[in-house]
Amino acid sequence: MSHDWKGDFKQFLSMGTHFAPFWIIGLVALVVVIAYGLLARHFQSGSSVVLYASQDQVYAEPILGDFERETGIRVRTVFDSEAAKTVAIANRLLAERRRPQCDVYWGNEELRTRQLAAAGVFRETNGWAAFGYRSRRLTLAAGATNPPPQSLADLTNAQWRGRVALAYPMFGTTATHLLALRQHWGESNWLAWCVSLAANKPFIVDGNSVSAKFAARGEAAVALTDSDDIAAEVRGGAKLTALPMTPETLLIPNTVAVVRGCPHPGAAQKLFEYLQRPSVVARLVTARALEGASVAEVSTSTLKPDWDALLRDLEPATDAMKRIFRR
Amino acid sequence: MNWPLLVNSLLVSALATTLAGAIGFAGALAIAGANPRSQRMLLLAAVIALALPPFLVTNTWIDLLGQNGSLRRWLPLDLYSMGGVTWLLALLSWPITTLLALGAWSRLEPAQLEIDPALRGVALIRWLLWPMARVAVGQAALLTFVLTLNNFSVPVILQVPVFPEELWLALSTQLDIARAWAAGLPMIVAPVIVLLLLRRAEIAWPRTQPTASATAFRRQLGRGWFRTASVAVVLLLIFSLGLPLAQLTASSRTWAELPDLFRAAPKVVWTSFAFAAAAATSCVAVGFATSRLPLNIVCWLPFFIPGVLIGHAAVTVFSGTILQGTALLVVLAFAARYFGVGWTGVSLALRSLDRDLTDAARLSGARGWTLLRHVHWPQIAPRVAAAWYVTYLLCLWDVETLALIYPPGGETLALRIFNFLHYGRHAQVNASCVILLALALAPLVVWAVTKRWSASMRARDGGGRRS
Repeated sequence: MSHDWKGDFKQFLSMGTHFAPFWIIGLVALVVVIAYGLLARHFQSGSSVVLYASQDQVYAEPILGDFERETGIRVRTVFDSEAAKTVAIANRLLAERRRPQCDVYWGNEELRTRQLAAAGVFRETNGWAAFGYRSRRLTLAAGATNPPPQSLADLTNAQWRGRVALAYPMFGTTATHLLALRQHWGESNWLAWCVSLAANKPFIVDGNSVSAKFAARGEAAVALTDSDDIAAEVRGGAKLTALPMTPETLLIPNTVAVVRGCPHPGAAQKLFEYLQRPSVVARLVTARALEGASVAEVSTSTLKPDWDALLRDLEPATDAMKRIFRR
Repeated sequence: MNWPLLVNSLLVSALATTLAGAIGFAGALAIAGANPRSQRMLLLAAVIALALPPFLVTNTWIDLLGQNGSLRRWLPLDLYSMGGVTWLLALLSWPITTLLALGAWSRLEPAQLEIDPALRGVALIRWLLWPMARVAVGQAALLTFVLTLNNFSVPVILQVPVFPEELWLALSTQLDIARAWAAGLPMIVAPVIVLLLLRRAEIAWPRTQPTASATAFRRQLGRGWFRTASVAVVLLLIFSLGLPLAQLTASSRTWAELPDLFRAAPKVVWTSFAFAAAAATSCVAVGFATSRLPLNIVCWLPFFIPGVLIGHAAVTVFSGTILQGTALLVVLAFAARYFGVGWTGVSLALRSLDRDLTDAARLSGARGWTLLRHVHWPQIAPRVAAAWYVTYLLCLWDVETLALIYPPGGETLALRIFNFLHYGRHAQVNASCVILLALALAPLVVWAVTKRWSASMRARDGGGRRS
């Protein structure tokens, strides 16, 4: 007579599910395994460095992978999130100031870095450095029939009514650009321009990439956005033309900083130096994450903000923009 | 305080909630009356519609009705308006009402449908279906209201100013958390007021017979109502699911990027699932332990608070502790934020237990684990599972709570999608969306397989006893 092992196994499972202590043992085991996994940070061995990065994840990951292979130091990264309007990392660094878990901050926008430096987030000496640059540009959509705008002041002309796209002026690089323009033009001219621009019914969209997309789709004839967002749309097949740099162009370098009191200062210094290598900057330029290796190579005159004054005037300028660009 | 902006936000949320509630209720009518196979497919479609990323749906409709949209010539509707935002938010939210109404009607008994031949059509809806689903629909409305009130991306893409801008302004330009909390207060107070208005206890209807069949439901509902609801749900699924999915899957690059996603970030899929599942399980487990406590309003308060403020509070409170920078902190923050969903689902399920059955089981000597396993659990399992699943979906898609607290290297798919979207990496975004949809559907597959296995075990046990 053959042995029905399948039936016996099923019967065993059925008995097991009816035996209460097995459930308790299973539950305890599950809780222990889960707790171990969730607290794994405290059980990891080996050298590591924690990086908070505002740089585009797609560009940053290959570079960090090469750093890991070269140094043997594992990089654990927190990327900034467009879902949180790219303010997550800055607010996280401020919230963790007393007991930082971040070692290195890789920023893609100078104002934020200077704000954090002013708040004492970075180490006192050699706290942060800038490398490479991208720029704030006007880009023209394919098929736009009007002559291109020669300056940002032209965006207030009637021919561009309802045809300009820009990211929300109070966030990110758009905010920095408008604040720099305020210094460049003087407050009264700047206020008049902002009011005229708002009255010209621009598309105020959720980010620079959306602004570039609006132009790529033809929803807007011209977009004020970042050069890497234009490059991304062009790479995707969009027919966009980036207008030349002007004295109203703002250059935006990447920044790297070591956090004050970071848990892995040695590894942090290595990553700090690595990210500033010319070969790394060249890779970012090739990938179109950056436009150039150094602001010194730009021959056109561009905006040169007084950053200390800009930080001082941040709140009144932001309040003014809130009033003007709010409907 | 920007009052026009606040009024705008409340109006948009109220309109979207009303529209989502109406079309969701119609969807529930159609699904409840469909044959079992169609029911499963329609439920699956509704869940996928709920799990779709908002930007995917928004971009699809901009391609259709935007300035250069393909349907613009025949349908000169202005998508960049309050109406457009209401439409899109309703398309994103209607499955919530459908799922919760169906959960309430899962306890419908044949006798209730057959008790009065005149109970058909409008009368059926008015005197039986609506009273039975009223609380569930109210909860769905509250969930939808809060989710639409906190939604910033869709209104901004469509040029409609809304109040959450104030919160992001305070955090972004001024890095001022105190102002952010002050800006977030109206977004908390408004839903609390709605919650107080909806505070009603559900009647625990004793259950003596198996669930009513779809055939009986369809017969009593009437051909006219059923056909109308069916047409509505088909159109809904085309607008909210078919069109975005077509855009997602039509590109060959989407599928080409899938292997690269696993190579570049192998942990991200597991992390997404683990955070959501652990948080949902915690919510349900604590909900069981605290179901008798009067937590009806307290447990919902964290849900009304914008996720980024919850994250900031978690970072501040647990800074320097063993939890800082760990996955457990994420699970705790999720569990705190969505505890209301799990607690309400569990406590409603426990209150709907058949008291006669419980008394009979106790008289037979059943206690504790035996009572739960053999008497209570078969009755409450679908509703507890629904509460777990809604919590799981909300955690799966959460980015605002996560952005400030996720451990280094602990990125989720949702965060990755938003980051890639910002940089225009559509193929990677679409590939990640496909994986996220698969994660959203995975628990349903497990549930279906487990049910089938349990049924076969019961059939085998029954056959064994007879022989």
